[in-house]
Amino acid sequence: MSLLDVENLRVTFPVDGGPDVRAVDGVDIAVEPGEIHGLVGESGSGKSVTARSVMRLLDGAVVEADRFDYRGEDLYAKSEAEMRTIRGDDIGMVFQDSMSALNPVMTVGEQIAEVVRHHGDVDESAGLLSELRRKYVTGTSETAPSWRRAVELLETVGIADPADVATTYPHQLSGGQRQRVMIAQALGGDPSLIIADEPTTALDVTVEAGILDELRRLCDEMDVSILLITHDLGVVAETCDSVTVMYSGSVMERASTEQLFQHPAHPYTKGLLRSVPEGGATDGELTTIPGSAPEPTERPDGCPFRDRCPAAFEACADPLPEHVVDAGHATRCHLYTERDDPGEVAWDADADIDAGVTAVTDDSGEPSPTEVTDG
Amino acid sequence: MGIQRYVAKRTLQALLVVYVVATTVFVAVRSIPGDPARLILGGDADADAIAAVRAELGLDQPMYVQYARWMGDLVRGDLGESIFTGEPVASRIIGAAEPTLSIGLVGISIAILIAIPAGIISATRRDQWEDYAATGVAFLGISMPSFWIGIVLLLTVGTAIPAIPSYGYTPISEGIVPWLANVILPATAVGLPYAGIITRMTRSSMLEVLGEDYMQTARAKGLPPRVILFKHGLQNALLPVVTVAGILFALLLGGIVAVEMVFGVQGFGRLLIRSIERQDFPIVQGSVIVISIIFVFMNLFVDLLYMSINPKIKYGGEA
Repeated sequence: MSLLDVENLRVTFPVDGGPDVRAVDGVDIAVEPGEIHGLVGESGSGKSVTARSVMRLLDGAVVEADRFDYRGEDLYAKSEAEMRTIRGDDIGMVFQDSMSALNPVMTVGEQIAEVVRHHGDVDESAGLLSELRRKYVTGTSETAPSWRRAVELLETVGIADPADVATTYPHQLSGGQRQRVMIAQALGGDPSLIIADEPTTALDVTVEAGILDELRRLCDEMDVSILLITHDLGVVAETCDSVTVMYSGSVMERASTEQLFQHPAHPYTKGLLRSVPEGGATDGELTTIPGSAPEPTERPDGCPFRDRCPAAFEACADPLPEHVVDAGHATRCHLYTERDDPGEVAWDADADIDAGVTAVTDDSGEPSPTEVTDG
Repeated sequence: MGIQRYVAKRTLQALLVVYVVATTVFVAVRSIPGDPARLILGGDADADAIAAVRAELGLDQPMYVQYARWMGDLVRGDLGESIFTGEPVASRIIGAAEPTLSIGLVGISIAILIAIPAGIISATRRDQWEDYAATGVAFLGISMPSFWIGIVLLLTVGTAIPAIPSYGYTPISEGIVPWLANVILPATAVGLPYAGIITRMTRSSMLEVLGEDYMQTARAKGLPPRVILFKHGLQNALLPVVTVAGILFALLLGGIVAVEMVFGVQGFGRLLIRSIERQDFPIVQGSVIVISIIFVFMNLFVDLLYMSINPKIKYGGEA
């Protein structure tokens, strides 16, 4: 049984005086126990909304799904109180911008320790008055089990001098340290799943590599599954076991990382992979996918990618089909269901590249220190 | 930089401000048309008598001599005597300051006790009836001048509850309860407009904080809503409020002058106004110096408070 199993997720944001915005339009996500699953897509593809919908953190949005199971139980059938025990306890979350996602007026130690008190196995009162007394009067005792656990967790995520770092405030730490604090905080309730929303996007390449190694190690050693949201195929290649590719609110392809990189099926995936700069290549222009992703309110019927797809044909206006390429590898493309031979997608190197076309990946494929100094 | 050095530096700056204020008021009171000696002796006094009084008060000396003499006394802590009654200025000021500070401090306490909960409720129940009620009352509070609130309170609460005296002042040395009973109405009158402003500040600041990423993080950590609000939100929301609350204390002291008139309190405002009318230079000078001292040290206090609740600010300014 999948740890997280979501089918046909649709998330709609009502807009006053305008058409509703459907940010996510029929997404399937499955995360297996003990794996790192990548959710990759451009900005605005709906990947962060998908992630937040798992924690039920989307205020004001209408979330619908045919299935939304965590450990076989429907998350959207739970009460808010039950959800609070799942958040932090079963599912931890790591946000992208650690500077704004950590509370500026609390020590990082306390921000981790409070998760331990609310969800962990320590016998300390976590009631409102006790929490307020700790916050405004006495401070957290450095001999309290929750604080000691917080220091341990900081050590686990690779912080040197964890006892000293625990007493600092977020603004006193570097970006990489803060992101490690976020991970330690997500681990505070000993979760089975961590949702990491672009955890390394704000970091430079060498620090990014360290954080990704850390996530890989946690997954392997602590039996935590990770749903890793990223726009960077390099991160996927480096870290993930399997991957879901999203485009404009829909899933385009789902595969193991190896299958995806060896045998991409969907034209969009092929276009993405083609746009990843070769390691070490510093001359020549970046290849891109011409055009840009449609606004959620201006999506074409059928396949949202068809306006940019060189292989598009009439059938692409029909609802997206599902085609199983191989065991664990599926794509949603009419080329496979409507034609006997999908053929090669004619991604032309001299394709019409306009000014203002968005490069799909922001970072180089292989994060290596030498590349940074060369560039 | 340590806290002691910071406070020492700020105190020196404060003394400089007080010196400038003292000099300004010295010049200002002497620029007002009229002559205290003539006021003392009445309109039909002859020129010799006026000259004699002027000499006695030292007002016949050149301005710089008067200034040097007064500064010399001031440095030794001597504020001089009243031109009219001969009483030491310091004891007149201390006597008048007690009722005024009592009204001011009780007023600000009432204001904060009303405003911060009202602002929080207003923000967390945004666009519901609690929010409309709180912002409506706050708007009323801001719109009504203190002396008018004072008159309404006198006519309603003051007449309905005989235990609350509607006139004069009882020193705190005669007991907390009679003192508080006497102070509560004028304090409410000065506190309500202040509460209105702080309520609106707290509301907007809290609304901003509720949208911050770290509040979402706190939710994602599975914390209960009230822990999120009061532990993660409140301190951040109060950062801008503290600054404004300190500055507004000055306005509140200004409002007390009119309220003292309504409630017949022999306070600082009355003393100052009467002394200006009579051109009682030493009392005016002394009062203004005391007020400026209260202000600069209130500012210092607010800055220290701000630092203690905002870990990003360090003594001396380096972030």
